[in-house]
Amino acid sequence: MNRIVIGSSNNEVGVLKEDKLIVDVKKDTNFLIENNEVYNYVFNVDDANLNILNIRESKNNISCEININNGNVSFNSVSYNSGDLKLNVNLNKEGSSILVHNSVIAKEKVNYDMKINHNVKNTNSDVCNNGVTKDDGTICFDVSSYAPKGSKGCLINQDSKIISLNKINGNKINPILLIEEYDAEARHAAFVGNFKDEELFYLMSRGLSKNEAKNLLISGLLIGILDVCFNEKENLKKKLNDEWR
Amino acid sequence: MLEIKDLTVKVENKIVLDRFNLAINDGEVHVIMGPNGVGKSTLTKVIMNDPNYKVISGDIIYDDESILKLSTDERAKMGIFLAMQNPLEIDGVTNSDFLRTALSSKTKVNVNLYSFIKKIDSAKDALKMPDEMVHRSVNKGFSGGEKKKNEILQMLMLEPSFIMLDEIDSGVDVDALKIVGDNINKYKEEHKESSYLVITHYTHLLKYVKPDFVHVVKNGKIIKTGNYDLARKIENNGFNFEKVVSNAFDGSDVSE
Repeated sequence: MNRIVIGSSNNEVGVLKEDKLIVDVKKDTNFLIENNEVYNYVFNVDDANLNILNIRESKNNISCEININNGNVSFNSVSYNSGDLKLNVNLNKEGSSILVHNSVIAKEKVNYDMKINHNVKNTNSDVCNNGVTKDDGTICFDVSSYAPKGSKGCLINQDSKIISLNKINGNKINPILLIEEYDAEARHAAFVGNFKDEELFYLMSRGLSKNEAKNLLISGLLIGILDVCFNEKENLKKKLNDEWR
Repeated sequence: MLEIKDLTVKVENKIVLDRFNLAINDGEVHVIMGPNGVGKSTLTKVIMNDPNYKVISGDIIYDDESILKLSTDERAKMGIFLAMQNPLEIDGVTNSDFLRTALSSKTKVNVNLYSFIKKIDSAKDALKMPDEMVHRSVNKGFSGGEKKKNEILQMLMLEPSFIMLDEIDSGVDVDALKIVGDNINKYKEEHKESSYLVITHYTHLLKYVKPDFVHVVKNGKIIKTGNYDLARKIENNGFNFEKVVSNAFDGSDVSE
């Protein structure tokens, strides 16, 4: 599988139209998008598997449209102290799927707006949002999954979790399931709060201090769940280790 | 090694252990039996300092030191280990990350990766666990038996000296139970000073791990103490304590 870094010096993988980078993906590819000056993306995936890792640390808002015309896409986003994100996914051919792993560290107010459209039957979407708030941070996860009439056999899942390390109210999770088709399976889970006492007790019963236990849980929540290779995870852990303390 | 003195424990305004006494010496295996809700698991959680339980009076002495004021991790670092009845699933945290952090925390040095891999590979092989379980999230998607094996894996890695096994035999098939039992025996053989507090409803595990003492608990207290025969009589008679207490002993067993 190709591994392409999209950064300030390399936007040649696609066509830059106005402020949008349009990328046609026709073979299996890994994209690493880090510190790019482009903030709007369109990915058109045809008969290919695509894995995107988007690392964001700038305040700029970003929008991403993914049109899957047959293929499987894994969209991994890691943001710390960054701007808002808009994600719009169209599943246009039977058998296509999207897996979203979105990890956020928020020190200010930040919004995530995601729309997943199951335009045809037998398509899958699994959206997993995890966030940690500290200082003045609040997070809003707005996730809409749409299965219109005729989208038989669709599988839809949304999981969202916000761990609040500050004392600010204002975190929001809005899981919206717009299901017009009877033969579709949709579910969601949402959690806002702190780590469970049982989790901390379990880890501490093996000798970890409370802080070590919390660090491990945050690392697992934000990095562990990503669908990226071991080395990428280790790099991200090193990079973010001080961000959530 | 571990002594519990007149321990009274409350949870949600209910007394769950009532002036409980027990002494476990180095190298001994003690078994606690009793029906659900009599305070067996509570005892292990109180020893491990679960914040849901409040000690009203009494003391827990470990290696001649009161541990009541110590936090859970400090107790674990002293060598106290609890294999839990329902091990938690922790998504995103791999077994190897978890154990490496725990070992580093215990030894206060960053554990060498090579020696860690060697040790965890050996423990995993001894427990006949598949390779990928080391890199999977802690207990996530594990079967009941795999979770219990994972608790024993943690025990082998952390090498504690006082080990509490809370219903380690529940949800485990016969083959897995033999593997668990063999590993506990091997560990016991290699760590002769280690002592054990086994909570169980059945004699399944006790066929492999022979107990020195079997205690029957009712209403937060030990009401009878005996040997392996007592466990077998309980299994045959059920937890009809009046019957157990009046018929199971003819004066030859150690009693309270």
